[in-house]
Amino acid sequence: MISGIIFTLINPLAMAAIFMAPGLQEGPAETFNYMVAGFVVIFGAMGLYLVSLATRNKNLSQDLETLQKIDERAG
Amino acid sequence: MEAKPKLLSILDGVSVVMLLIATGMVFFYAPVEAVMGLVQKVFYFHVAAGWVGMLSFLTAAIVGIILLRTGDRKWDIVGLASVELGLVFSFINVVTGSIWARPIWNTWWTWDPRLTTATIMILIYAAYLMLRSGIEDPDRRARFGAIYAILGFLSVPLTFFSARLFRGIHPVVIGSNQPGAEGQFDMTPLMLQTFFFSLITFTVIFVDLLWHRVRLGRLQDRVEQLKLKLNV
Repeated sequence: MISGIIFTLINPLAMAAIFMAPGLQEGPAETFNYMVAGFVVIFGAMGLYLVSLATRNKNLSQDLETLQKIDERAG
Repeated sequence: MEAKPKLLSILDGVSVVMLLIATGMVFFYAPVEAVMGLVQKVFYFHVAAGWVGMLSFLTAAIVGIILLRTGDRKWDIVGLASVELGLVFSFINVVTGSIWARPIWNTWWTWDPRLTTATIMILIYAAYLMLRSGIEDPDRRARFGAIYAILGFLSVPLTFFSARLFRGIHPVVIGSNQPGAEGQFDMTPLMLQTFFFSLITFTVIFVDLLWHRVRLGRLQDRVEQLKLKLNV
């Protein structure tokens, strides 16, 4: 065990691992960009669907108005 | 164009307010998950979108049965609206899942049973839209849509239970996890409250959007009938 401690103290790689390990392991992973991408997809898809509904509604209302006018003229 | 019902306007407002509250809860109320970090916040709306996708397909199957029993074509409009909404929410579910998987599983995609069955489910319902658009006769199209929605619904329980029945890496949210599941975590009470509030919010949004889509379908039906009458 003593030889293990001495080996660790004189081995620069082992020392580096001891000092860097807490920084690597503590705290959650850095996943901010993925979270942003996820919410862009969620709100983007829902927004696009709403725009699609509004556009189709507008076009169909115009079509209906035109067809009703033709129907009235046709008597 | 029929006037917008007051109840629908109220439902619009409720949906917006609930979505704002749910988003606030996701970012400021639920804690950051200890291992996965901020990407875990996508989970709340990812699961809620998946739930609404499956609820939409269930609705399409139920109205399909009603259509076959009654022969009333108005149910076809509801069925089509449900399938369309189901596809939108299932798309959100799969894409957000893929984004979550990249840092957690170290891959954008893997042919895990849950992911595979979800993809098959989406393709089945995408085919529904394509196939029914090729049928001219409205009554035949409605019957076809109803039978397809009922048979297609078999893919929904298969997708839901795939993570429980088959060995894979997709975590199970409710119930016990598979031993090989990766990215599983225990929800704290604040996380659970956010999760269930998100589920309720997306369900309310589904009802609201379904109502809007059905109104659009009725308008489309009127235009089609008038076109047939005028022969244009």
